[in-house]
Amino acid sequence: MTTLARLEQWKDNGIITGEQFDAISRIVRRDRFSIFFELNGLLYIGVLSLIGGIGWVIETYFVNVGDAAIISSLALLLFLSFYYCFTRSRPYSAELVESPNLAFDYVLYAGCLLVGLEIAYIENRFHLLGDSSDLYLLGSALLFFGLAYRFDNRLVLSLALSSLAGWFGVRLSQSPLRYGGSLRPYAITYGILVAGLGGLLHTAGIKKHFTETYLHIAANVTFLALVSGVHDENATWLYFAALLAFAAAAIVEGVQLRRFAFVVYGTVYGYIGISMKVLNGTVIDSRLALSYLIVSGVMVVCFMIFVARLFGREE
Amino acid sequence: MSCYATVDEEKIRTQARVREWARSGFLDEAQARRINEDLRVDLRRTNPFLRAVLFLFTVLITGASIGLFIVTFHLDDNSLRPTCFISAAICYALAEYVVRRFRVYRFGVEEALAACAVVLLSVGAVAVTERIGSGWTLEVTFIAGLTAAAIGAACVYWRFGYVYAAIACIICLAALPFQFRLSLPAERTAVAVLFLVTFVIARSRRRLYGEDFPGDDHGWIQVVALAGLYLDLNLRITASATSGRFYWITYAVVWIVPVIALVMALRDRDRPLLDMSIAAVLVTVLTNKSYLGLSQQPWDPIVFGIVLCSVAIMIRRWLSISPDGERYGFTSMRLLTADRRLLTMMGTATVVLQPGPGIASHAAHPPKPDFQGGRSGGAGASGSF
Repeated sequence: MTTLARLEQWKDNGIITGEQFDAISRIVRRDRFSIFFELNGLLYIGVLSLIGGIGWVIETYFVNVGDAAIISSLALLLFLSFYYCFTRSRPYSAELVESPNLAFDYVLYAGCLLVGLEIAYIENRFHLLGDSSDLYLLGSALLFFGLAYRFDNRLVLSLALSSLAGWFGVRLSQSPLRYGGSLRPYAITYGILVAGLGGLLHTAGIKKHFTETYLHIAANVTFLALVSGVHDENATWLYFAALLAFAAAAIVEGVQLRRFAFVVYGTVYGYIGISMKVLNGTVIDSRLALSYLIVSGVMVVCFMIFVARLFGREE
Repeated sequence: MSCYATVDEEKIRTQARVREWARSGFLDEAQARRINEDLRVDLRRTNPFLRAVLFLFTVLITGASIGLFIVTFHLDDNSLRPTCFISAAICYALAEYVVRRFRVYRFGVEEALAACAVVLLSVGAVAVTERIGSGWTLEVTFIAGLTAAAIGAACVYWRFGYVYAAIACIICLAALPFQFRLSLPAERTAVAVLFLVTFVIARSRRRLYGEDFPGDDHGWIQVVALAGLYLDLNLRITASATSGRFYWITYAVVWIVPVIALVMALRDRDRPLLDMSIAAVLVTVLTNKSYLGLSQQPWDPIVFGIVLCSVAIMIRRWLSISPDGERYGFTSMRLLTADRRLLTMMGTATVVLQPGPGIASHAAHPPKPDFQGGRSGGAGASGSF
């Protein structure tokens, strides 16, 4: 039975109205087809390519063109993009604000990337802040946070979070096991700060739809730092204890709030940490190690089935 | 013969659509509840996140169990072969048992068991080929392994309906011509024919069923076939050839194929095909200069970016100036919340994908010692001029 036939049946049975049938059946028949996602994708790739190209041109020709021309050109582009955003934007609201048009979010994103490019160029050429050049990352992160909240832009929020991570010395795309001993506390501090900030803004009712972005990033960075601490033989047992506590909290909160991604984080990262401790110094193809993997794996599967049957039925 | 009834498969797909309509405001909560009563199936399902964990840990248990069996009984190479086949049979039987006994559907456990059965069958075939043909070339063992994997994956698809099993089957079949030491044109032509045939079959079934089951599965299969066809023939991505008649034929084909696919996708309003064909067109443009042997210029990305943004804005304006914001059935407005969720996911994912290295640098000398990390973000402020 096709979806259209079912829709007709529901209409005949009075479950849906004729108007609803018309609206939905147009989408089902693809008489009304949205290319919203495709246009957004083209704009995103276009902006990245544009800014990347500007960076490449500067890198190649800055000797010939001169500092003044480059800085003033970038400043002009920056001014134009922010002028566009501030003059076309809808008023601020703590709730979700739809963009005034399709290109708006990407003009803002391009502007933010240009800020980074301009700051980078100025610092690279003139070394204004000397050894404190990382303050640029903090400054740009604060600016991006402000713009993300003012214009309700998740791309700029991501830029702000990764800039802040950069200020803490954390690279979000890096392998966790490469986190050195001195980086770990910074990564954990970053994770706690981001989670706290997200929670605080959520409690204050400011852009609640951003909260999950904060929590996903905070959870992953903190878990990765703790797992790297457990992996490091010279590190303290506190990392292991913290990992267990954090994993338990993620699972409990994830189940309570029906955010099952956090249940997965807690389970997988917790399991990796425990396995590192249990299998420490054990050959992986030994009977002990394999038995451990079977028993622990069965326990995790049973627990997941229990969670799935009780709470996670909805697809 | 599938182990799930067609009517159940249809109802499950329709449930997902009803949820989406309700989220998007086309139905109210009470209506969605009544419809879901009508669409009830006696199959146990779970959340995608829990499904992924169940899959992962079932694979872990299966692998460890086989490893423990081998270690405990000190099995040698001769015993390894029957072990693989027997394990494959046990895994498959367990998958069947779990589905029949517990009535699970895309629950992770049964999927992992079926996937392990295919992998073990393939490993067993490789081991047998190594045993009976010790003088044979390495390619023969690969052929045996890929063939067994393709057959196994096809069986899993027919029995359980996992679309990724069908995709694995196509990829294994497409990898076969690479094992015969053919010339580049012969090898690529054979793979292209395979992908083309797959595309034509999947496309015809997709057009027949549309978004309804099994049309949705065929939509993905046609996209994989198109992607495979494109990558196989774009020699600037998947080969090192730079001249010859075949090279120039492929140059023409990598322009023609995405355009034809784009026209088909627009005509039939087929989203997976539309997205794939747009991606193929973009890759063709990006590889065009290297295909022609020309060097990339620093301003190329600027031109590319401006063209993309201009095209997107022009299409949007062209659609929006019509009375209902629609032309020929196309609209730039968001109709379903799924589009927003997809963009949200994309926005969150960009945290780890922010443009960084290579654009600029003001963090060349990290102030905090021994980070062993580096930096992210700063709108790309971590390269060097």
